[in-house]
Amino acid sequence: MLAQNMETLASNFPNFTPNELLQATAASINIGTDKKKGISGNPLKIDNGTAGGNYGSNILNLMDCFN
Amino acid sequence: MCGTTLRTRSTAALTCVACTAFLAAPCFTQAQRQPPAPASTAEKTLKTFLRAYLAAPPSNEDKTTRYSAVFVDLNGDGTPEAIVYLTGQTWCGTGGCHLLILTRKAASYRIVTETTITRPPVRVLRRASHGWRDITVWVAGGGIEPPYEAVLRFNGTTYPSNPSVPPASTTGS
Repeated sequence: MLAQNMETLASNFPNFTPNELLQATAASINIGTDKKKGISGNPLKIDNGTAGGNYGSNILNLMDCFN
Repeated sequence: MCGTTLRTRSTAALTCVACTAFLAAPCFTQAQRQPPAPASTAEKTLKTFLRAYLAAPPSNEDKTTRYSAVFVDLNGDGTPEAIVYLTGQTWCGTGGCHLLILTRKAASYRIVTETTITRPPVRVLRRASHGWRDITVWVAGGGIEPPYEAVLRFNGTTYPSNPSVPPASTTGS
């Protein structure tokens, strides 16, 4: 599912950096891949519709714990 | 809202199917499933609107999309708004699914609000904000513990688009 979401999001937002795409993919676990009102193309608003407004960035921060 | 029953419609384009009842009200604790009935004009108009809205860019075509809808007069103007619960891979995640609130515009609808990560039951309260009835949804998943019921209050223009952050609040506040 992650790979499919990432593919969809990469197609929706070709200008995302790899890190932004990763954050958006993490966010999509929480809200799906809709980009009308879901995942925003604005890197600063990727998490706006997610739980607590920070789901994707939280996942990335947690990933850092395992690096 | 009282006495309103949930009906779900099927369309070839959206492959909509009957889903679980998602909307409840204080005086209507258990929505009833009904056998398919002839589609009303509002339902046909809604189906047409959703086909266009969901298929139009920037959305991706998603054959898993389903919807459930009820018609409730939220603003007291005598014309029911449509509350639409979207499901499918595009619209759902661990936090829940998207909820659309639509109001009639000429012969079609316009989006009042699209709210992410909502879970049923959706309730329409008697209390109103800026002339529109308050709506509650459940918030759960995606790290939110414990689950709670959030109130969406109309601000004069729209309802909150994310029930897990302000201005949405818990029903207890």
